[in-house]
Amino acid sequence: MARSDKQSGGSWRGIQQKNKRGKATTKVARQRKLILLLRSAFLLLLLVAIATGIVAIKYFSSVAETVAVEPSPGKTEVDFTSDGVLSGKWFSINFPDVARSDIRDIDVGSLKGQLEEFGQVVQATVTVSLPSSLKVYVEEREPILRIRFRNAQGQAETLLVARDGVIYSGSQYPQETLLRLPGVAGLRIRKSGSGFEPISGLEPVAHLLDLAKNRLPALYGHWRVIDLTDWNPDAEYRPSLIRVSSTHIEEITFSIYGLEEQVEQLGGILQHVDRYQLGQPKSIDLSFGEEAVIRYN
Amino acid sequence: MSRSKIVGAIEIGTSKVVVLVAEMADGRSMNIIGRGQSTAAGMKKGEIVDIRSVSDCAHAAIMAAERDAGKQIEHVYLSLSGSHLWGFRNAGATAITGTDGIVSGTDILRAAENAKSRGLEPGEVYIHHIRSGFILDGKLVENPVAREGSHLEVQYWHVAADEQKVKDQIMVVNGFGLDVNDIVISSLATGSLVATEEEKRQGVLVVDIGKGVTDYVLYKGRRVVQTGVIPVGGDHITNDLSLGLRVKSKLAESLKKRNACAMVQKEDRTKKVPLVGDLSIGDSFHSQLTINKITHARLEELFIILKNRMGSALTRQNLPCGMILTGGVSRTPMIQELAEVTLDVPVALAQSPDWVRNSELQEPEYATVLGLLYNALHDQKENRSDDGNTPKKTWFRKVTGLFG
Repeated sequence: MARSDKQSGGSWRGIQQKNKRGKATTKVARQRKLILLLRSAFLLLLLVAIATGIVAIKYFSSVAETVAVEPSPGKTEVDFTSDGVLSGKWFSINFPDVARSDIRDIDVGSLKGQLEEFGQVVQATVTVSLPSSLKVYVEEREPILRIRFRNAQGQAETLLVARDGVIYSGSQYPQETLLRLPGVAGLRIRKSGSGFEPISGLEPVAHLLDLAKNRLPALYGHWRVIDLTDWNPDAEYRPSLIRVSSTHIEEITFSIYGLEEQVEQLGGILQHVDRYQLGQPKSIDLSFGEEAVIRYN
Repeated sequence: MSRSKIVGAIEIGTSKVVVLVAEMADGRSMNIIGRGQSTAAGMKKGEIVDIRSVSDCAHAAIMAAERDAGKQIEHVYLSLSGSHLWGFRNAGATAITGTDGIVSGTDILRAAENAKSRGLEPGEVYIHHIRSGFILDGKLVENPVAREGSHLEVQYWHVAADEQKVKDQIMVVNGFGLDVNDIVISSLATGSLVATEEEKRQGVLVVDIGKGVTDYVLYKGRRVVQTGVIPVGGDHITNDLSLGLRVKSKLAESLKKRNACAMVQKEDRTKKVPLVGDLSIGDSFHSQLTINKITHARLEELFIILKNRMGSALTRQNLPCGMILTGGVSRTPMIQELAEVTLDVPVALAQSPDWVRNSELQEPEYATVLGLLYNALHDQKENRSDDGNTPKKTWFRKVTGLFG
């Protein structure tokens, strides 16, 4: 075809083309428009679905990546703290697998239970801190007495008694602390599984030791043995006596009732004896209430 | 990036609406992927008389084509016909302004603007301004650029149409939700397809005899020299047969297609042909001679009108390649012989180019829409779609087009 040019002025191109609904719009055209609209809507929904899918995939892959950047198994860092004497070394000796385990494999509940099986531990708190830290905090028992006995194999063994009556083999206590603890005699202890049954009603004994430690520290420093032969936690049992053997006084007898008064009375007696140079008493019995029986050599 | 365009070619004819859908890849190749067709109603002599009926038919055809293609039409090329179309020759002249007297592109543009400046009557619009040659200092030249001269004349063949009738055609397409990208008059669309470049160079007249009108285009020197529309078509033969044989139009149309011949022959005198032809009781028989005489008379009249329109241009010397006949009526037996006798030029029936491989598309009815697609392909090649006039593809169409 020969080349033809179109001009705008006076050309058919100047005719405004209308797509609006008019007399030339037919049912077929309206159907087509509806179909096109539905297609657009479907496409829009499809795009939204695809976009949502992409976002979801990205989100979940990022979560997976977070887990994936975890250190390889055996890289768990243990942060062990205690309010007592136990240290991270004690933990690593008793729980060597924890530090080598993947943190995802550590059963926190089980670990807490295992820790609390140790008599020295009152309560344990185990916290996982992602990505690779395990925080362990333990509250320890404070020993007030020590028990020396021979086990089934005939070997001498030292156990510690906490103020709540729990008997346990202590770990990591300084030797000095252990030597300062008075020993205990006349106490019946019973085996329970691999350990011993706790002694119930030991609070008066602990209270006595605390009073002596605080009010008569010089005297307490010489207490060697606490004899509990006549001690009974049962309130009906009278007299329930605590006998203390010290370096200078062979026997000091306390009743479990009125311990504060008895300790105060003891302090007064010792002061009186010292002031008047009456000599070293052999025994002092404070279990009679306001009266005290003092024997001299 | 290579991008294909889905182009729809629409011909709203008197007898039927034909739509072809093609996929074009950057103006390099074209693949026809869909076809739709419906009988036309509300058309008379190539013009819309009932826009509702025409819209119904056109939209059905477009819908069928889109379904067949499985894709949504993006660009529409519309053919235009009808007796409201008219053409005239108008030249634009200018003096060469360069000091050295060499013709530049600016000189050509100025001359072209001068040629196109002729005003039209109110209610008329230009469809085409077809450049048909240059005359430099009184001599016909192929390309005057860089040649020396003092006076340049640009010959143009202008095609104008009734604005309201063009609006109606556009409105039908707009009613389907499509914008018209380009309008090509039917004769140009058909001519560009059926005439070869050599025929156009030597001179050829392409005549498309449709149901309502006859479109023609005259090529010479590879340029369009003249176009026109004669408001005579196959319908006139049908009417003549209906009146002459006193039968209904529908039966007359059937009789025309089945038995009409453009020339009267000896054996026609005794031959009788059935009106319906299905051996039904009561079927009447009519003389073949009468039928052929009526057909011959109307077609002869058409060719005489054509001869008168063309004048001296329609001679063997001017048109060595003669005339190419196409359109539905060109199927009439012996029409070629009648045209040769009447016009005294060699006459050939149109043949589709080799690239049209589908046998159905090789039928004359598809010549115009195929020509439209051919023009669309050339438009893309020449990058004419970037002239700012092409409606942009809307986002809505882009989105909905994703699903075909």
